[in-house]
Amino acid sequence: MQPEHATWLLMAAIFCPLICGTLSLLIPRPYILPRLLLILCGPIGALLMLSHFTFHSGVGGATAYVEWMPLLHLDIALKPDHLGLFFAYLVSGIGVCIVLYARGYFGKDADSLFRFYPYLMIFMTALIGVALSDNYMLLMMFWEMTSISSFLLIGWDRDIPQSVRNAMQAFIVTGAGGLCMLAGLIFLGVHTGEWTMTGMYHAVENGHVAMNSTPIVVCFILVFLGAATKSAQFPFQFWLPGAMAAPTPVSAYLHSATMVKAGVFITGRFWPILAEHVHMWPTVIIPIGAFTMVYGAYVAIQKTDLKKIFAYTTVSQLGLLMTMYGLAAYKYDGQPNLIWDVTQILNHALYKAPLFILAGAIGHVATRELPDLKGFFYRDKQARIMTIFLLLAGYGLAAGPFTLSFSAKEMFFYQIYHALHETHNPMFWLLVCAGIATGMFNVAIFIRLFTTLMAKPEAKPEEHHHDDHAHGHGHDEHEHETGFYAALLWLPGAFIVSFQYICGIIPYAYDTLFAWLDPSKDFYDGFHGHFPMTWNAHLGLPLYMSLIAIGLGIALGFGKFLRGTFNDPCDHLYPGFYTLTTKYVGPGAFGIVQRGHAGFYVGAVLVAMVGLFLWSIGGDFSQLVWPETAVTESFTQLLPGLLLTFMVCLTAILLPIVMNRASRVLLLGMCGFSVAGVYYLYKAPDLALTQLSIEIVSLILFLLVLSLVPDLTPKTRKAVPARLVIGIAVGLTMFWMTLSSTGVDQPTMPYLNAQGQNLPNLGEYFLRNSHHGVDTMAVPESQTYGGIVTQAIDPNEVHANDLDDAVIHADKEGQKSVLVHHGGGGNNVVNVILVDFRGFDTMGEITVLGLAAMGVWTLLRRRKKSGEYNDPSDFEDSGPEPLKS
Amino acid sequence: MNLLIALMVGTLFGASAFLMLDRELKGVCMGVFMLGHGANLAILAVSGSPAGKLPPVLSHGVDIHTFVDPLPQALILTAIVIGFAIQAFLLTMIVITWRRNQTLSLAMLATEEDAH
Repeated sequence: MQPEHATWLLMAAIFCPLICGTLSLLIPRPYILPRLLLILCGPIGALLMLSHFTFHSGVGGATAYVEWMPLLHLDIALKPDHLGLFFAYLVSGIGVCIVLYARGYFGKDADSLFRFYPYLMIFMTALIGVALSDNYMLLMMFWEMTSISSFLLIGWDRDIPQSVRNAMQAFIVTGAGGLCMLAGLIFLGVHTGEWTMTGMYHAVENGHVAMNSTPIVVCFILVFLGAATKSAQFPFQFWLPGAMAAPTPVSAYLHSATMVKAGVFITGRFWPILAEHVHMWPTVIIPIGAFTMVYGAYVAIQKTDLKKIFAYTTVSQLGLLMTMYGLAAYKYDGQPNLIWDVTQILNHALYKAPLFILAGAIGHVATRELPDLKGFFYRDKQARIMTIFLLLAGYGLAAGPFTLSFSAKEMFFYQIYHALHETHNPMFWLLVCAGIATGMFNVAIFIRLFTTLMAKPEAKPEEHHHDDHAHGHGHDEHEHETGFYAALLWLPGAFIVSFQYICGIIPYAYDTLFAWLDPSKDFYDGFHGHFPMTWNAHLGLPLYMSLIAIGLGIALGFGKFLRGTFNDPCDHLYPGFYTLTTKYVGPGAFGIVQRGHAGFYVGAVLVAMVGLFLWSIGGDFSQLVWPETAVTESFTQLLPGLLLTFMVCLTAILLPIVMNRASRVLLLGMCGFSVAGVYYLYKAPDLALTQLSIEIVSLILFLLVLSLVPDLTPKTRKAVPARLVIGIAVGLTMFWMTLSSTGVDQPTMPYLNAQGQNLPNLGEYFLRNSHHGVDTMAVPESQTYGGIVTQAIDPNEVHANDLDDAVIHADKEGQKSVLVHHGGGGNNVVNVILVDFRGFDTMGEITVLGLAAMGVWTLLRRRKKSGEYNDPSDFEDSGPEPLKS
Repeated sequence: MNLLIALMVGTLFGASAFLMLDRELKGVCMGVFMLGHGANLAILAVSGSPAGKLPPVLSHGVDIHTFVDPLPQALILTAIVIGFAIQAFLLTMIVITWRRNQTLSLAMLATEEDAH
């Protein structure tokens, strides 16, 4: 496949969900089934396009690249490698299930579905974009898109203040992290000159970049801050449980496949670049990740709300994934110490998505409070199905034998074991304990789920709690659907969780289904490149760790410890920060900066201008050398200029002095007319004409305003000395800057003339190209043709930058050809620039003029009914001013 | 000529800074207009001394280096028109402010704002 085609196909895959989501808004609200089908096209279309790409180009195909704004390093560079494709598959694959689940969850609530699906599709597009982008800036664009769309989804219940607060909390935490990451990536790009990850990777491999230097470490810290906030690492984990204010389909999506994994994904993207070279990589990531891992599980077991429990296990699992990438910095057998990392991410999605889906489903028909769910299994048939699948997914959470999860956790333990083995650092025994503790908590959570849900019911539960209805509708008007759509409440979860067991029980099933996506499977040859089943586990520390964890977990699950509720102290971080900024810091700063007096603002700007000038010359006035170009003309040449200068300066100085307002307006007009004269002197006839006509109109306008507003000008002035000082300082600064600007060499343009020299300024480019295309003919060398200097060039020697919009006519072999300028069709270059080269700019200018005219009309229109204005003068006939361009 | 235009720019900016710090709205308005003139001339100054050069209107057989730089002129042409739009809008704002508040004094306007 052509690289450009690959790029467009990938772009189509990225934007497919967004387009489907937008189109779905065209479907009238009551049509649920067409909407569902259209929305399904989004993730399925993305999947199909991605699969096409994979099968035709091979996994890890070349970077797809299209220039967009190369000078700003903004290019559409996409990287469909293993990790990116895997993540894109995960997002769109789980996305299909979530779309179906949302249909079951919202039922027949057409309004909610109408609003929900487009948001979800924005989210999906953003995440696929994050997965596939190679360019830092493109990545950041999609990254921020995930923050915004998750804000919209978490704040789904717009009427509930808590929900809005949680959405803001998630947005501010991840947004602040995103800013850190943006700073880190820009810093990295500027420091290394590489703006894509592929480029960076090659630069590091070839040793072009001095790694482990302070700038790189700073970049790493900043990028990791972004990843840690997004992936809810300690102490930023509080936003993630708060995010469960969203409807359950969003929670399931956000927790399992998508947003929180983005941080892990970025870490995974950067480990080949940074892990080996930045010594801080393991020392920063492993402690944070490991603590998050244990802490999340510790909090999870002490929660009672099903969604909260699973939210904190997500925090724990994210810590595990981070630790995994932290451990990848070490070597084992000459290979990176990373075993099946993609599998770990997938494994989490394959049990966490079902857990949330079924927790939501149970909350939908009963309650999410675990103590109230005692004996839920025996309630009815639907409850039985839900309980079974919830427990199956919970068994995955506990990493019980014969699941994918068991092997995955086993391999994480292998990583710890290998790191311990290689470094002999006793600190890794702590990590061993952390791994065991996490496993223990997870097993205990499963045991408690099991014993509660399967307990013999003591009494008939009174009535259904519908506390998970996020639709904002009353519960009574909601009727439960039956049949297929009701089954959609649990069916997607059942589908996803089945993979846990298929891959955990059937040998080679995982190899066939997913393993080709995992590049790290060859790093450790203990399993000969095949995914190990539970019975393949070797005797050794990892297996003992699993067994100890399971044993302790069962004991804890039945035991009496940790039965109370425990609130994460980090939950207070954000409210505290919020209060601090909005109650104390913000108003204080606001009071200082926002005085509400126009003079203060204008003065601040002017003083800052002068101050910046002084700062730039460092207070050293000897730098201010008189430029030689100050006066180059003879006195007779200067005479008209002198007269006009006298006029302009005189009017400008008189204007503040004269008090009579009519005189002031006339002075202003005189000043304008003199400026028009200056334009004429500067060989700018268009400017002079425009200035003249506009000056006349604005003079009339000003006089009209004076007739409408009585003369209230105070006859005395205040604070004259201060104003005088500021005025003189500003005048001197501008005088100097203007004078020196005329003597400075302008930067040359990246366009070449016939001699291969850069054009001295952009103006020459316009001069050369304004004339309508000169016809071609074979000429021996540069010559003047039709008034324009054309360039004779050899087509083989054309520089890439040479005159962007020129066309080369190669006539006959061996002959030089004329470069034909395709510019505007006029001789007046200023005109051509305005209407042709900068046509859009001029259109914007006309728009501004039109808007101003409309504004004037609206403001001055007489509002007879309101009687709001008690103006003495008569406005009956005062329409809008005549506007001329 | 460069010196002269720098003088004009300096004087216009100085006077407009003085005017913009005025405590009355019409004075501020005049300051803004003069600032526009000054800024336009400052851009024009970049094109260098015009002595001996031709306006940027192409004609047969003339070397392009004898024309003045057309780019600042194009920029200024846009700036003049937009400046006029802003001027009209500002003047309207003065009328509206007067109708609503019966004052054009910035200090009184600020205190009224505080009172609300």
